[in-house]
Amino acid sequence: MANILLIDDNIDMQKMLTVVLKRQGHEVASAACGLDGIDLALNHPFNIIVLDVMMPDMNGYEVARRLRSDPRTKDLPIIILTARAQSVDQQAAMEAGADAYLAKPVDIAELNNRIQELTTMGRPKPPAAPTAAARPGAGPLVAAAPVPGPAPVPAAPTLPASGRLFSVLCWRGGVGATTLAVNLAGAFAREGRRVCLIDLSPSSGHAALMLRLRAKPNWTDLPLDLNPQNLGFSLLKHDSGLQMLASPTQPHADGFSAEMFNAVVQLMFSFFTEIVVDCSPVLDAATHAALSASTRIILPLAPDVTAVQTLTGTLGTLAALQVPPDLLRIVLNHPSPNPTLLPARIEKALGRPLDAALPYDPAQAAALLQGTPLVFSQPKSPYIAALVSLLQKL
Amino acid sequence: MTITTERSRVIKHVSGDFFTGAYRMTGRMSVGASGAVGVLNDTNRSFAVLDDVYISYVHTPGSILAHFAQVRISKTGLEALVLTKREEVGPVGVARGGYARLAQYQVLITTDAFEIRGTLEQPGKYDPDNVLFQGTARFFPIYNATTNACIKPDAKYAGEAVLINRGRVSAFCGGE
Repeated sequence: MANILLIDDNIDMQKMLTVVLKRQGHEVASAACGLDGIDLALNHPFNIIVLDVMMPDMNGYEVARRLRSDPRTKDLPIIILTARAQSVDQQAAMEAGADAYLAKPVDIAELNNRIQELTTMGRPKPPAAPTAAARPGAGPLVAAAPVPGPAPVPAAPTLPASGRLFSVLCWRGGVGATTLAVNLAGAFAREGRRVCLIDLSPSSGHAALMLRLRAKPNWTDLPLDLNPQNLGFSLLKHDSGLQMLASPTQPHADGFSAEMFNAVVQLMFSFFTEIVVDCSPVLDAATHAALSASTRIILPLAPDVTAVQTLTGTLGTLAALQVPPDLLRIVLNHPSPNPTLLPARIEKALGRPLDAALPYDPAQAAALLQGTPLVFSQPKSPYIAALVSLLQKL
Repeated sequence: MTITTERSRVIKHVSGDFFTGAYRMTGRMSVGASGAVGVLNDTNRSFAVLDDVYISYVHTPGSILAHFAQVRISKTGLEALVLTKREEVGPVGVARGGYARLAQYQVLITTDAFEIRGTLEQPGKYDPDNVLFQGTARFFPIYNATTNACIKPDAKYAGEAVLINRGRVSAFCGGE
């Protein structure tokens, strides 16, 4: 819940918003003019400011400008709330330094959503232009992609020093890759990290279902003029704090383009420190882009012959794509209680050791049915214990 | 629209953008039961009183030039009033002069400083002369309209209704 400073000269509006926001669990302080508001903002630790534009002594734009120019409040999210509701006013508000703009009469649900969005995600930073300069650890995958398949991928987004992107890649179904991706993202959320899960499946991905979220909006709804605001609207929010970009529930012919994926990831790293990508079951453009931007690539594997064969092919493809082997983590997952291959045989077939093993957990089926991943419903289960151990190795 | 009571009289306030040739004034106007069109077409008063008004130049509509608690605005000098809600125009009988079945016509109307695109609602056939010259009503409504100043055409003001001063109309286009 946020500590909110409300600056509005209209006392009735002030009282009404105070009551409503307090009912939502927020702490609210108010000021009736711009100068008082600035004074309060500079001397008290607020999480966010809700600011009226039309005030007699100093208008809201000027208040926003002054707050942005002071180092103590330059990063404080500001929502402008005004009866001047034309597009020119919205533009003026954004130019003055506001992070969001709402027209009066106030839609309380919308206001509350914006407050939650800005207080949990922080102020959106202006996106840096994507460059080819990769961070240490990223493979030279972009430079040369000798295998036939998807079109050349545009330059990978520049990850911030603290940002990490994990791709969970499996080109065979039934191995538990999506379950692993969802629980991995959930484990980061439980640690209090800002994490976003991206489901790249072009044909009915199930990550949203596993979190009991309706996959609308999804990445097919992303606008071409992507900005922090409309990206925020395209993300699904889970109660745990985990956010996700869902895939469409019906097969989508055009897929998710590499350019759009890179733009999304670039923007996301303004808000999130970890991104987990549940890759598409085919090597499409977005998956290719995800692999090239990955800090680690997790390759889940079931203990059966067909899964080993698929993974062998996957490793060959990744080698051809010049993915550095040190980015790869092979994880033996047990989606059923009766493995047909022992780990030693698998390691021998792959010619390299397994990095982790996740045990079979009978509660997985119920977790899927109820839309509550084990990481939230049974955080002490053996599966989650092994997953947390894997996290340490990432 | 906000409603307050003063003794036994009900006062409604409509908020909107009032445009003269060079200024944008955002404020509230007290109206009676006859709505904004009733106040602006009241031939007994040549000025309208606005409260809590923020003034901008039309060419810099996002910057606030001044604020006044009360402004008297000349109805002759007022070119258009952009209203967010259609019901702020006034009761149906007053706003369109009756309850006849209406036809809708897409129109472009220009004044000295603005162009307004929207829907004209009229009973029967398209008859701009009726709008421009018949009766005593000075302001007429255009619905679902977009207004922009000629000197800053990229700044558009959208509203469910725009009241236009027919004495300032320079061209009335459309209706086919």
